[in-house]
Parts: sequence; structure tokens; C-alpha cells
Amino acid sequence: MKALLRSIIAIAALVGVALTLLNQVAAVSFEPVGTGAYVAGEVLVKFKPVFSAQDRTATVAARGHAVLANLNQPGWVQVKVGTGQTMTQVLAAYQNDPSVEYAQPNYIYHTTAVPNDTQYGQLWAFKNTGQTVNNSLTQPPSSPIYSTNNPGAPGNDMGIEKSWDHITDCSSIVVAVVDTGVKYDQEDLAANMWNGGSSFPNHGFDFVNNDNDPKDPNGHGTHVAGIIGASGNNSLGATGVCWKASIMAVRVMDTTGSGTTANIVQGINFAVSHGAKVINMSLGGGGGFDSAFSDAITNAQTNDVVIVVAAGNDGVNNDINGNDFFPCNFTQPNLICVAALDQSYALANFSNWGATSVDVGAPGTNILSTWAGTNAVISDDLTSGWTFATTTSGGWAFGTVNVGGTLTPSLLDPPTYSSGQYNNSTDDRAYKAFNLAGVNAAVWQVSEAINVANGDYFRTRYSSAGGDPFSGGTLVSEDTGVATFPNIYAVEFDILGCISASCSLGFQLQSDATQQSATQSRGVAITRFKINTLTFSTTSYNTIDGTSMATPEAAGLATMLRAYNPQYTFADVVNAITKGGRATTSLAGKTTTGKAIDVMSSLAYINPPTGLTATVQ
Amino acid sequence: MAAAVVLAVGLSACGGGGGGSSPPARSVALAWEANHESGVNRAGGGYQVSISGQPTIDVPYTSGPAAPTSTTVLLQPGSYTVTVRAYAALDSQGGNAGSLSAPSQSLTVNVP
Repeated sequence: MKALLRSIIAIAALVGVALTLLNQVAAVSFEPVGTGAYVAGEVLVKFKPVFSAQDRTATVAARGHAVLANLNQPGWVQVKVGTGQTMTQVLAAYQNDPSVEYAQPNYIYHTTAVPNDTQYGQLWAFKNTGQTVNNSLTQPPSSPIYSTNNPGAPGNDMGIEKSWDHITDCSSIVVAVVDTGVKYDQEDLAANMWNGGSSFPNHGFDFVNNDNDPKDPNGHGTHVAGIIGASGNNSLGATGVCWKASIMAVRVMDTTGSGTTANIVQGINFAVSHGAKVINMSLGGGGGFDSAFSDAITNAQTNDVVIVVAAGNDGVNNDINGNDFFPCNFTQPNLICVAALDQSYALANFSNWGATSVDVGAPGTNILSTWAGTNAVISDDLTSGWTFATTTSGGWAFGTVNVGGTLTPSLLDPPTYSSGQYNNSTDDRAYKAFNLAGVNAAVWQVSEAINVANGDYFRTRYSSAGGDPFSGGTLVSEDTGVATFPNIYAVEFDILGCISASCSLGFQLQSDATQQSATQSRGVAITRFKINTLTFSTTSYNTIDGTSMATPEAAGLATMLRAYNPQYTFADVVNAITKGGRATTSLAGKTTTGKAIDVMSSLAYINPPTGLTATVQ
Repeated sequence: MAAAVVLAVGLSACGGGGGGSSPPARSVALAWEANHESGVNRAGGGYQVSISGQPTIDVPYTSGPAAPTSTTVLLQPGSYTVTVRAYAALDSQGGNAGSLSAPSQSLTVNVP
């Protein structure tokens, strides 16, 4: 039934085209602009009914042409023409022949491409029908999703379906995902990973662990990769902007999603030197101009590489001094910075913007894509099961802290926190064991307020063997001379080495004999404790938000543009994306272009010719 | 790199002229850099050359790897403004209505 319906749609389309062409021929207009792609060296000619097949063949042969076929439609023949004449000239000659009713190019048509991927209906960025995006595949399962403008206004999408009639295979262009790695064996990615040969059998490099296995223990990079190039039309999960791709995995961010200048710079340069022509970097941060980072982007520019980056998720104007967000705020011409739009094409409430720093917008809320595995959360309410030890008195205890007006169960040292002081010359420990058997990655998240004097220490440690992690365990963090009260900070640690059936996590407050002021020795409050785990899977997906998700929409477009136009330079790509976009009210005055990316418009965009010269002879 | 298309343009002078017999038209060779869009360099693509006061000249793709990037015209003495646009068959809706680039930077040509 589906096949029959497709046929009917195809026939209807051809009838419409025929009517259009009839008008064109009647006007004897064969201007090249306005005609479609057609078979070079062929025309279709309709002879008047009085002319026999023999007459038609003779007429065609008299022009030095040949009849390729008599179509099963009265009077129509498919003609092979010779060389040396333009299509305009050939058609005009036949049109002026008294035996001919019509003449036209032998146009080329394509199927209207809509992929059969099972979750395609959720991909509003590609086809916004006003669908409600659900949380059926979120990680951890059933996590809440972005509620504003869900559903959104139909039609607010990337205009990509029409482009898939022209190109779906971008595999001729290597696109690097410089991120947390990529789960390269995920079912929707495995076929679309970069072939790194024997040197890089895992499709890239890991600059965090300095090895050639950039598998993603976080999920972020895998999500980004899927937006660019999840296999399309394979009856599985999602599809990317490109149905076929060559994705290079470059891991520069750790399990917690953080990375250093050193790793990022090495990652960019690796991608450039190994043939990537598009780099996606859904990452960024403040902290001032980073020369090493900037130099790496310039190196990419020198090597004709486009870099697509995220605007940031702080909901601020990047143009304001102090809000600078790099790499978005770098000014190299090979850089495109992307803001996030919601399902009604309003600027997402978390998205940064900047009339001089952010270039375009792209869908960035409730984006479903590939994921590295199944997430789970192990929470501890900090009310029981902890082992406390001290060399003096008091030490750690259960208590409560006012957090945002709510009395929150917490671990406290001293028990009289925050009015008291911890003891001098004490070693206070608190620890608890958790079962992490079978998981592949774990991130320990803690919210804490710390006031510890110089020479006194607050430490976190773990032990995969259980028991007291301060006896033979692994140091995770150490603070001294810190005073955050009344502010509480969230920190997180990669505890890969603790994965076991008895992973013991602990806190230590150790002081010397020096008496400190009450403020300096107020002590420590642990107000929140979680372990996020990831168990690898090749069949996982996730629906998440961020300018990180908008960025690969644009990077995928950049990759598609280069695949479609093999001679394109980085400047051509940037022009096609920024000038070929769709004017969007929410981006006016908030981006350099006021536009959202539009795939079909960019694909049809033509740069103005350059280098015009004239010589009077 | 691409074959030149020689077109003779019937002209009325927009700059020079006057007096008895008109000075002879001069041949002017125009050339530009090739566009990188695939659509410009295949069937249905090409360039349009605009010369002030003259009909637009079509320089279509005919064969080979790229559309022609030069043309020669006959111009009467005078001053002319020349621009080039590139075109391709594909339109922004995915159909075959065609797309046209913005004009190139204009060039003033003085024909003595």
C-alpha cells in the first residue's frame, strides 16, 4: 500500500511539471535559469500526430541526432543529440521544426526523501509538524525535558527534507567531533565513523587518556555525532543531517565533560592534520582570551577547515565584556558560532547570544540523538549508612543546612556547623560504600560549603576495595585555605577507578595544632551527594537540550555543503550558511545574521563571482 | 581553463560617439574566477554578464568540468559598468526554478 501511494505521488508530481513545461515551450523560452537538472546530451521531442515513427527517425537523423527510444506516449521520442550545441540551441531548433509540437530537456527527478528511522517523528528540527517531543528515550529514563514551546509551531525547522532529494551522503568529507569522545559502535553510528586505518582503528584519538580509543564515557559527544551523521533510512533510531558520514572521534573532554586548553588544542590539530574539513566543538568557557586555542583555530583556517562552535548555555549576551565565551568569541573567519532555538523558533531560555559574536541559530531543545549507554543515578540522602571516625571528638555527623530556604539533610563537621569550629589536631573521616558493579563510567557529584584554614585540609578519596578510603584509597581532591560559606558549590569527579561492587567514597577533615579564627575553621557541610553512572549500550538514545545540540545541526550542514560542492572553501561554506539562512525574529539583533540555518537555502546558495577583469583589445 | 564564448553585441554608444562616422567597436575580453558551486558547473548552470545599456549575456555550462569563465564582446566607445552573476538550476525550495547569485563587484570598462 505504501509503495502504491508513493507511485501515485510521483505521478502527480510529473503531471504538474508537464503543465509547467507546456507554458515554457509556448513562450519559446529556454533561458537556462529556471530550468532544472537534466540529462546532458538528450532531449525529449513530441512530433505532431501525422508523422510516423519512420518520419520521426528521419527528422532526427537529419540533424545528426539519434532516436534513443520511442516513448510509450503518442509522438514522444527520446533523442540523443550531438556535441557542440547547447541545450538552448537544440531545443530552439526542434521547436522551430514544423513537424514538432514540443521539445524539452530530459529532466532528472529524485524521490522525495524521508527516512524510515523509527524515531524520525520526534526529530522536530528536521520536520516540525507541531509534534510533542516525549521523554520515552531520555537518560536517565523518563527524565524531564524542555517544556517551553513543546509542542512548537509547525514549520519551524531546518528545511532539510527537500535537501535530502539532492544529497544524503556526506562521507566524502571528514567531520571531526572534538568532544567527550564518541560511542563509535552505537548502532546508528558504527557505519558512519571515520576510517582511521591501522593507526586509528577506533576512528580517532583520545587526548584525555592519550591513547587511540576515543570511546565516550559521558554521552555528550555521541549525541553530537548522531546529530551530524546518525545513519539515515536504516530503520533504526534517529537520523543525522547526513545519512552517511565520516565522523572522526576526538576526545578532549573527560567523563565529567570538562577539558583543558592543552587537550583541545591537540584535538583540533589532530583533526586538521588527519584530513577533517569540518570540526564541531560543542564546548566553551570564559576566563579570557586563550591564545593557544586561538592559534589552533587559525591553523584550521590555514588548512581550509570550518569550525562550528556553541554560543554557550548561560542565557547571557556574549558581547558584554566579562561574558566573553570562547571559542565563540574568537573572530577567525572560519568560525561559525551557533545559538539554540526552541520548537517555536524562540531563542531557548538558556542560550547565549551576541550581535557581534554569535552568527546563526539552530534547533537546540528536545533534540533526540544517539547516546553512549544507559544512565542511572545513585543518590544518597545523607541520613544513614555512613561510617564516621575521629581522632578527637565530634567529627562528622548527620545534620541539616538551610539551602535556599529548605532544611536539607547534610553531613557536617563539626556537628555544630555553621556556628561552631572543628577541632585542632583532628583527623575526621566519613565514608560509605556503593555498589557500582557492571557500570562503565561513574561521576561523583557533591555540593559542599568549605571553610578550612591554611594548613588544615578537606579531602575526598575513594577505594574500590570498600572500607576506609583514607587507608590506601585514591585521592580525588584536596582543599586548604578555602572559605566558601555561605555559598555552596557543586563539584564532580570521575571515579572510573572506583567501579566495583564496593566502591567506598569518603570525606576527611584534617587539622593541625594551630588555633584558627571561627570564620576560617567553620568546617564543612556536604549538602548533596550523587553518583551518575553510565553502562555502555549500542542501542541507546537521549533527548537533551543545549547550544551543544544546535552546533552539530550547523556542522552537519557545513559537512553536507562541502560534500555537495567539493570545490568549496571554508569561506564558501561560511557564506552559504550565514547568507543562506532563514530570517528569524528571535535572532534579529542577537546574532550577526538574524538568521536560523536553513539547509535547502544554503544548498541552493550561490556565491557572487569574483575576480572580474576586462581587457580592451 | 574554460572556453571563451564570443558574442557580438549590437550596441548604441552610451559614452562616446558624435561627429561623422562612428569609431569602430572594440573587442573586450571579460573574465572572472570560477564559482565553486557544483550547480554552476553543470547542466543548468553558468553565468550571466550584465553590461550597462546592453542585453544580458548568458554564458551557460556546456560541457566539461566547469562553466566558461570568460566571454568577449564588441563594444562601441564609451564607459560601461560590468557585473557577473552565477546561476544554477537548484532553487531554495529544492525545485528546479533556479538560483542566481548576487552580482559580482562591478567593473567600469572604458572603451576608447
